[in-house]
Amino acid sequence: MSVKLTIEPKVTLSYPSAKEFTYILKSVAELVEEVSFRVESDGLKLKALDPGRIAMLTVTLPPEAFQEFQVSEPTNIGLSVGNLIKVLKHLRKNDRVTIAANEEYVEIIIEGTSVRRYKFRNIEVLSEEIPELNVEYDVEGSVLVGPLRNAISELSNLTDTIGVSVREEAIVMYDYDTKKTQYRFSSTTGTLISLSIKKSCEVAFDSEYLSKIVDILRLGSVADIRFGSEAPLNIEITMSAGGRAQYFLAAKV
Amino acid sequence: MGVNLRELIPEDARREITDLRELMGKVVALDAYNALYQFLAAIRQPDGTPLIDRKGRVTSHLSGLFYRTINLMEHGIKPVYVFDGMPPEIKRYEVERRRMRREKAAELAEKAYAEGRVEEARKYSVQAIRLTQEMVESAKRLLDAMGVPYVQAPSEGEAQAAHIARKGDAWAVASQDYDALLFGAPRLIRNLTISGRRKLPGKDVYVEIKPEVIELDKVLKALGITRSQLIDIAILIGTDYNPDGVPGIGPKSAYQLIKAHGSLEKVLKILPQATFPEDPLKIREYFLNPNVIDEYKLEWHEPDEKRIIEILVHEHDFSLDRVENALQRLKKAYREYFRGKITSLDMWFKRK
Repeated sequence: MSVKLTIEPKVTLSYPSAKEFTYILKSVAELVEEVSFRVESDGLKLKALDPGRIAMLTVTLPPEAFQEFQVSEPTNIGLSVGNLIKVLKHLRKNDRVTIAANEEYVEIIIEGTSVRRYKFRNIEVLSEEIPELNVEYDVEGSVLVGPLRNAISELSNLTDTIGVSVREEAIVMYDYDTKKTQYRFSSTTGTLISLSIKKSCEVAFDSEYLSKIVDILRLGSVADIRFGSEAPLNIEITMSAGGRAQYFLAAKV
Repeated sequence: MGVNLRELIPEDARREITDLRELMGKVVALDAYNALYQFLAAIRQPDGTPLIDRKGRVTSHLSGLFYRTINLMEHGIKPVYVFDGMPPEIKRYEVERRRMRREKAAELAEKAYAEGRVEEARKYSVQAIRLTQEMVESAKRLLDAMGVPYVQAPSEGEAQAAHIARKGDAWAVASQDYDALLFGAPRLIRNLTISGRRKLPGKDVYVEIKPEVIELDKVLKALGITRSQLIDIAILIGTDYNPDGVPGIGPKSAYQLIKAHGSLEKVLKILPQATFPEDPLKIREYFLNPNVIDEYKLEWHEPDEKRIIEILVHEHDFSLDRVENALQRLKKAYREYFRGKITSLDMWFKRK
C-alpha cells in the first residue's frame, strides 16, 4: 500500500475493485443497519440476518480475493453500513479500497485519481450468534446471473410475490398473483446450466426481499439456485474475484 | 395510570427494540384506552388544544390511531386493540379521583386560556383529557374499516390483553403501564404507540423514545419472586385500585419487605398503620383472576378504502391527500404481510 495508515492495524485488507466491494455492502445494507466482519487468517466472513429473520446473507472472501491481506490477530470490524455506503457511493470502478482495523478504529482508504481517507470507531455490533441453517432442497440448479438479475428486477417492479417452480426441465420465475409474466431458465436458451429435481414444487417469495440481492449478483457469472416446498430459497454465487455469497429467503405462504 | 415498576425491572429483563421489523409477523394486543389517551395527549395544536373537526369534535385520537396503526402494520406487526369495559368494583375510588382531577384541570385550563397563559393552559388541558364514549365508538368504527380486529373486554382492557397473550393468541401486550405484567402477560412492549421524539411533560425538552420489551419470566427470575409476590409489591407501592399505596414505601422497600416476609399478609402485620381504599387481598385476587372472556376473533381484513375516507375525510375533515397516501401504505402492508404471510428462517436454523 502506497498511503500510510494513521492507526496501528491488527488487520489490513486491500480489495482490488472498490466498486465490487460496494455491491457487497449495498446488499448487506438492505438487510441490516450495522454489520460485523470477522477477519481471520483464512479470510473475511460476514453474516447478515434481517431483524425479521426472513432473509440472511453470508459472504466469505478468502485471502486470495484481496490484493493485500494481513492479519496479526483475528479481529471483528463493526461498521454502520448506512454511513459506509454514503462514503463509498462515489467510487470509480478501478479505485482500490484498503480497510485497516484494530479494536478501536477502522480506517478506510480509497485510492484512485485522488486519495480519500475515512476513520470510524470500530463499533461493537450487538447481535446474537447466527446459527447454521439445516435445509433439504427439492430442486437444485445453476443459471446465468445476467438473466436471473433481469428476471428478479423486472418481476419486482410488477408484483409483490414472485413464484419459483420447475416445469419441463426449466426453472420458471413468474408473477405469482396474475401469472401473466414469466421468465424461463432452460438449457435450450442457454440460461440454465444444470438442473437436479428430487420433487417438483412451486414456491412463492416476497419480491422486495428477493430484489435485495440484485447488486451482489453482479459479482458472479453463474448462480446456484436451490428451493423446495419445505425449504427457503437459496441463491449462491461464486465471485469472479474469489469468494462466495449465499442468500437465504424464507417463503411466503 | 397503572403501577410504576420501572425501578424494579432488572436491566437484563428489558430489551430495546431498535428496529420494528423485529416484531414482524407477531400479534401484539394493544391496550386501546392507553393508546388513545397517548394520542389525545401527544397530538395537539400549538396552543395545546386537541385537533377538532368543523363540528368541534376531537379527532386527535383518530389521527394517532390511523397513522400509527399503519406504521405498525408496515413493519409486519399484527395489531389487535383491546378496549376497556366496565371498571371493576375495586376501582371505584380511583375512577372518582380521576374524574375530580380532570374537572379541576379543565377549570384551571379554561382560566389560564382566558388570562392568556398559554403554556400553563396547555399543561392543564392535557391533564383534563377525557376519553368519551363517542371517541371510543369512532375509534372502533375506524379499526373496523381498516380491517384491524378489536376485542371488547368485559372489564379492564389490560387484563383482557394479558389474557390473550397468556393464551398464546398474542406475542405481547403493548401499553405504557406495567399492570399487564401483574395480569400475567408474558411480554410487555412499552413505547410502541409513542416512539420517536417526545416532549417531556412540563419541560421544553425532547427525548428520543424507543420501544422496549419486558419479559415477565426474566423479571421474576431476576428478582427471585413469584407473580403473586410481584403483585404484592405493586400493592404496597400503589396500583389503580389503591393509588396511594403505603405512604413511605417505595419500590425498593416494597421489594425488600416482600422478599423478607414472603407475602402481603405477613408484611401488613408489621405495618398496622397501612390503610387501603379496598381490601388489599381482594386487589391481589383481582390481578390473579380478573374478569376476562375467551370469545374473540383475531382476523385481519382488507382495508375498506371508501369507509375510511368516509369516516376520516367526510365526517371528520381530515385532508384527503394525506389519508389517500396513508391508504396506499396500508394497502401495501396488507398485501405484503396479511394476505400472504412471509415465514421465517427460524425453522431451519440448527438447534445447538
